[in-house]
Amino acid sequence: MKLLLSLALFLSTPVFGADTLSGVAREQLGDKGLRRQATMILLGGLAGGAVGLSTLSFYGRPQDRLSYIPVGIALGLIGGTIYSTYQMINNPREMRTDLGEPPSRAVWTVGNEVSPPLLQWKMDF
Amino acid sequence: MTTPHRWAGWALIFSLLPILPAHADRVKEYGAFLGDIVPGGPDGNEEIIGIGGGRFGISSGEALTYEAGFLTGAQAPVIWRNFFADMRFDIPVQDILPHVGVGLDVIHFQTKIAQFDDDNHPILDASGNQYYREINKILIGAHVLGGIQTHLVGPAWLRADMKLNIIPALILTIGVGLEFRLGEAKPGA
Repeated sequence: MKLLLSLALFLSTPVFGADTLSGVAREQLGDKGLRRQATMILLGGLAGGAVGLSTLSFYGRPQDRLSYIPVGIALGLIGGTIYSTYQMINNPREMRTDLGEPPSRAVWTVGNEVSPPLLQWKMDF
Repeated sequence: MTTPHRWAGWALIFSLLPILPAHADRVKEYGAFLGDIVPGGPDGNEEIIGIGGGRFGISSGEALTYEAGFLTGAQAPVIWRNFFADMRFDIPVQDILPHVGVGLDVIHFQTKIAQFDDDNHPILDASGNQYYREINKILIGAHVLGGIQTHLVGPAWLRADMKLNIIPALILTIGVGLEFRLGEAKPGA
C-alpha cells in the first residue's frame, strides 16, 4: 500500500512541476542552446534504441537478446552527447540563439574607415 | 480481477485525477493499439504474447504529454495485464513526430509452471496429472518509451511505440495504433 501511495504521489508531482517552469526560464534554456542539445541527445538515444531493436530480428529467440536495446539506447545517448557537444563548441552560432548573427566586416571598421590590410602591394606609374 | 488487482488499477487511475482539472483546456488524446510483448521475464514468462490496449493522454500545452493506459494479452498459460502511466516528450522533426518518455507500470501476471523432480521427471498430482505451480502476482515496474507519430487526417494520428520495461524485468512491448487528438487547433502544432 505504501508503494502504491508513493506511486500516486510520484505521478501527481509532474502536474505541479513541469508546467510551472516560467517562460523566462524556457527562453533562457532555448537561448543557451540547451534545448537543442537535449533534443539531439534524446534523438540519439531513440535512434540507438531503434538500431538495438532491429538487431533482434536476427535471432530466433529475441527475448534472449533484449539487452541489446538498452545497450543501443546508451550508445545513442553517448553519441548524441558527443555530437551535440562538438557542435556546441565548433558551431555555437547554429546551436545558440542568443549569440545573434556572425559579425560582418563592417564591425571591424572604425569611423566608417576600413582598417588597413595586413599585407598590401601597391604599384604607381 | 481479484481485490488487490482492482486496488492497484484504481490507485493508478486516482493518481491521474489531479491532472484533469489543471488541464481542462488542453489537447486530449485517445488511442488504441495492437502489438506484441517480448518478455525477458519474470520467471515463467518467456513466450511472445500478442496484446491489445488503449491509452489516454493530456497535453501539457508544450512538448510534454501525460499518458495513462491499459494493455492485456494472453498466451496460454500466461495472462498479462498492464496499467501504465508515463510522461511523453514530443520532438518534432519535419513531418514526423518522434517521442521519448518514462513511466511506471502495475502488472498483473498469471501463469502456471510445470514442475519436475531432480531427474527431470514430471511431478504428478494425486489424480496422476502433471503438477503445475501457479503464479499470480502484481508487479510494480518502470519503463522507458520511444516511438514515432505521423499525422494521418483530421484528428487521427498513426503511432508506433516501443516500451521497454527495466523493472521488474527486461520486457519489450511493441505497439502500433491509431490516436485521436481532440482540442488541437492545428495538427502537429
